[in-house]
Amino acid sequence: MSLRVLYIAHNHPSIRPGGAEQHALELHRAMSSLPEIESVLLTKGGPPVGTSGRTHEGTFIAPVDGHPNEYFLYTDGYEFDYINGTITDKDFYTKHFRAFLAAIQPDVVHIQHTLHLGYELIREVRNTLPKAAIVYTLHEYMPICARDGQMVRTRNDELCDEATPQRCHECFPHLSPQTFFLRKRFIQAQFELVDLFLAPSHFLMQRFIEWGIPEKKIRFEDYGRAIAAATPERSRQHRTRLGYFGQLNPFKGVHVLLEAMRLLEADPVTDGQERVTLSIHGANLDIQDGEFRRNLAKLLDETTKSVTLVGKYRPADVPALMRDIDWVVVPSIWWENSPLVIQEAFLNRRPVICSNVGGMAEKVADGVNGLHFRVGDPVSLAQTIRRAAGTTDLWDQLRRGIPAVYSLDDQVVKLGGLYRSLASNPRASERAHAVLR
Amino acid sequence: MPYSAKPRKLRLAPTPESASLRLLGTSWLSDRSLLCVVSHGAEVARFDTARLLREDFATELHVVSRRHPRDEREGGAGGASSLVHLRGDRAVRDGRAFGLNLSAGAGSWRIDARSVAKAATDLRSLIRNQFTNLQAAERAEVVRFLATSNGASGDPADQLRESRSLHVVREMLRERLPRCELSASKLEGLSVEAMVAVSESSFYVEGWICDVESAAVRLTAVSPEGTRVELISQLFRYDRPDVQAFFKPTIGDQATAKCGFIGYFQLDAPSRLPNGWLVEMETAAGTVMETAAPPLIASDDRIRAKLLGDLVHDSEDQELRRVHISPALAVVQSERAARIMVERVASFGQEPPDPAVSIVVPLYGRIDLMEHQVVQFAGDPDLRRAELIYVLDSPELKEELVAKAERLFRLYGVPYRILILSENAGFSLANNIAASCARGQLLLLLNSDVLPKERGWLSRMVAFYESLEEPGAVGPMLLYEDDSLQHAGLYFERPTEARTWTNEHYFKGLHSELPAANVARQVPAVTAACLMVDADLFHAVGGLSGGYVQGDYEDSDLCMRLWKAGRKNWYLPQVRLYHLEAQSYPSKAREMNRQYNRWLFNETWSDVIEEINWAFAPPVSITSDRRERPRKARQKVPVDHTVGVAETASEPVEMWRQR
Repeated sequence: MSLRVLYIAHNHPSIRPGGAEQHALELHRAMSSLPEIESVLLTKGGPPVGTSGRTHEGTFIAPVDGHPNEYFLYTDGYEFDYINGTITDKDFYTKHFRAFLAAIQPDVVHIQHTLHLGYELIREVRNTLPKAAIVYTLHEYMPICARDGQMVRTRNDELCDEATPQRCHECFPHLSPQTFFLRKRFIQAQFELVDLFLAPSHFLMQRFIEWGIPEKKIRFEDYGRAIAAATPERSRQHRTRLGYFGQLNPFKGVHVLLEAMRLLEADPVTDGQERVTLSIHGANLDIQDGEFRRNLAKLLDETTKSVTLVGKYRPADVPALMRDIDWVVVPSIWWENSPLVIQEAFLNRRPVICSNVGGMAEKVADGVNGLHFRVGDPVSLAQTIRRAAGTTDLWDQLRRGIPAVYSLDDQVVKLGGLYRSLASNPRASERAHAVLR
Repeated sequence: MPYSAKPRKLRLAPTPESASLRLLGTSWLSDRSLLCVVSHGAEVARFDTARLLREDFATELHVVSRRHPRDEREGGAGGASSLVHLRGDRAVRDGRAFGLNLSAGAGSWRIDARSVAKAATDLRSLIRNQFTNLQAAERAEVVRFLATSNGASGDPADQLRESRSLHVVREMLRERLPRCELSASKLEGLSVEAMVAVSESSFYVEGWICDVESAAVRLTAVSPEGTRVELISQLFRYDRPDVQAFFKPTIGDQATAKCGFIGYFQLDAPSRLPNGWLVEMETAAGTVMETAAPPLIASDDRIRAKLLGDLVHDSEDQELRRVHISPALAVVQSERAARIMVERVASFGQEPPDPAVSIVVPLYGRIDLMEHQVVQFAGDPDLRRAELIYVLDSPELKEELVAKAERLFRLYGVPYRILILSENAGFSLANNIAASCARGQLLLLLNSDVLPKERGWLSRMVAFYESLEEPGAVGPMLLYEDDSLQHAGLYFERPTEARTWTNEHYFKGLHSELPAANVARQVPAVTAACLMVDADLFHAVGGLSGGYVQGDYEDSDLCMRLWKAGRKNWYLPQVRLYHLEAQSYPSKAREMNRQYNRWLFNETWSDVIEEINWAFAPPVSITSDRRERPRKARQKVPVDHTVGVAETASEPVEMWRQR
């Protein structure tokens, strides 16, 4: 018997690239290929993720580029409260979202993200489809942290271990501790209705357990990736070519990497050796804050000898781009979860140099399949790069330690089974909710 | 004799039978009030009954009459006449012709419609014809007569018409005194700076007098309708440095002590006009003057602001607040209570038919917190036994609230009622009104910024309440957002240098795990932020007191009344909620209000507090005031620390949890 799954995300990659939305799209398309599963994808369209809002009167949905099972959900005219993560006028949920749910009638709703749409999506699924199973993938720490879910403090970009009303107030002085208290209670109340949370890293899973998600309700489940043929490796004497892949925002730490490159330019790796080079493949520089953009431009100016800004890329281009790369650098200054770029590096059998914290340190084992440097520290990064480029046979050794990457095919089978078991077993939350209504 | 417009009077010898009556002039004062001047036999002292006659029916009228003041002067030589004021219960003036019938002990007389029509005139002409050439004292008597027969009942628009007519009369007949012109070179002055309409019959006046040359012996307030009140001996006097500075060039350092005055006074007859108040002053030396008061302050907010603002002028012995401000505020509040009602009820969902508890939540100034409460209530089956009532005390938010309530209901499905009040009523009245609409056996007063910590809190609180003997109010543990104590029961403290008791919270700011704060026990009082009380009991002791201003001490006051009724107040730490103490009120006004509330609370309860406080061990011995200990034996109130806990808590009380 066919099972219908609805995926919900906050953005469609055709509008703007991003990790969570990329995963949502890939998962949906892969699921669609299974004969016993019907998959539908619903993503937010219109501002602020896109530029143009809805075009048809009387409806808040529209198909994506003619795909019959991919939809945009518009929120035109509805204000989003970014603090609590909810649309203020609940009509959005009880009229528009409800109408969509009633039409699609999914057996399982797998929420990838609620940004711009609101946590009450969960409640409305419960209201309209009491029997549907609700799965929720956590991509970063947004339910915990109001700073874009990064858990990095605003005063000095230091990493944050724990959110409390007082600490959050210190990061956002114009918002009272009570505001953060209310935010947490609100989000947790909606989360109670979720049947299962999926965490792409153990690190993130542990964070959320500490925050309050019951252990039995959250499970580790990494991102499944399409396994394409790995990029061949050409024999080289020196492995000096670094690659950065990802959004160009402050949390990704590309400025730390550029500062390290500047240090390296001043003091090349070894005499007579090739210079270490860096190719930056990245997008979204245009939407960043002016000061960050200027700083980055300045750093790029100072490192023209070794750094090339290649620019935007499509996921399909990655294997080809990695052909000319020896090391993939993931210098994020936030905890990260399960960076897609690390999986891509491993798929293409490239060792990773990354910060020594959070999800990065979990996925990359120092000295086994990559190297760690001290988070946010350009000197430490420069030293690590020096070691990476200058130590003979290190690259080959680390390459041998690269693990297999979780495949999308495997994930699809696994999730398919998971959806079935959730859809067929009675759930405590459904029982409780039935009593309340 | 010069030609006079006055109709000629019949000069008849007074005989019982032949006394006839003639209508000399008549004029409407309002649609139900008619003034007549009639000549009649000398034996008639007063008219008792009257009827207005129309073709189809007769209407009974109330009569007040008095002999014409000129009669008293002329000693009967000119014949008898009277002023007769007729009043109907409803409007009687409708443009149609009518006759009148007047009766006195001596007989009954009929004035036919034609005579009435002939004598009918506009008010000004009537006054001019009949009264303007009387002597001053006589004219004053006419004004007084009309002013005091000004009725209190009837349609407000018509009452206003009557007031305006009386004002015309006053202006035409009163003796005008010299207008006071303030000047630094004149040693006598009078200024009225504010006139507050506390109700139609009670007023509050504020101003100053400079009477350095000769002391003022009379200060008379005159209402626009003409009622006079002598104030000189019932005023509160205080220093006005600004007035002193004004007169200093003339009087030098000779102090004009206490030239400011404030007075709360009653009127014999209601006054309804915003303009036209006068104050007259007369000094011992015989100087007289008058000054006009500014337009009345009549809106509740401004009245409260003025009265509370004047607290700064109070004397050591607090005469101003005791004699003037507090009684005035009490009247403002009772007027409010009589006037404010539920304008609209919006009902969402199906409420339980026989709820165990009615939860009353006042909303004031902001409504965003309602969503957060509803989200928590949505997950708690306990709420199905409860009736949930939100009462909006900020009418300007009503459209927004009803829209929000509707949308929240569609999403969360928690049933509730929204009560919209016709005006801002204040914390006490809003709660009382909502409580009067509640059907539950128990009442729970709940602030909008209180959020449950976990499910099942309500049934635990109900079970505890029901397990107690003679319970009064029960309050749970309330926490700040960082899990420190916001409320663990209230007690009273009196620092040695102050005379007043203040409300204090046990262990405020300490962590919720503090063992002493986790003992269920009797306490002097609990906060109204989350207060459970039997509904009948609440109404029996009178609900929350309206004498307090805007949210302070009403809870302690209620708890004192419960105590006096033989009930006990309890603190229940096994039930915990968060109280986020979000600011709904502006803080400057709040401080003023708090000070007043504290005074009022002490004024009402200081002896009872004394008694109660000694029944409870002070939580901390720092500020105990042993000097004040009463002579009588310390009351042995059984303070049972553990009753009720084992029976109601579903898990044992953990006195200290290791972190």
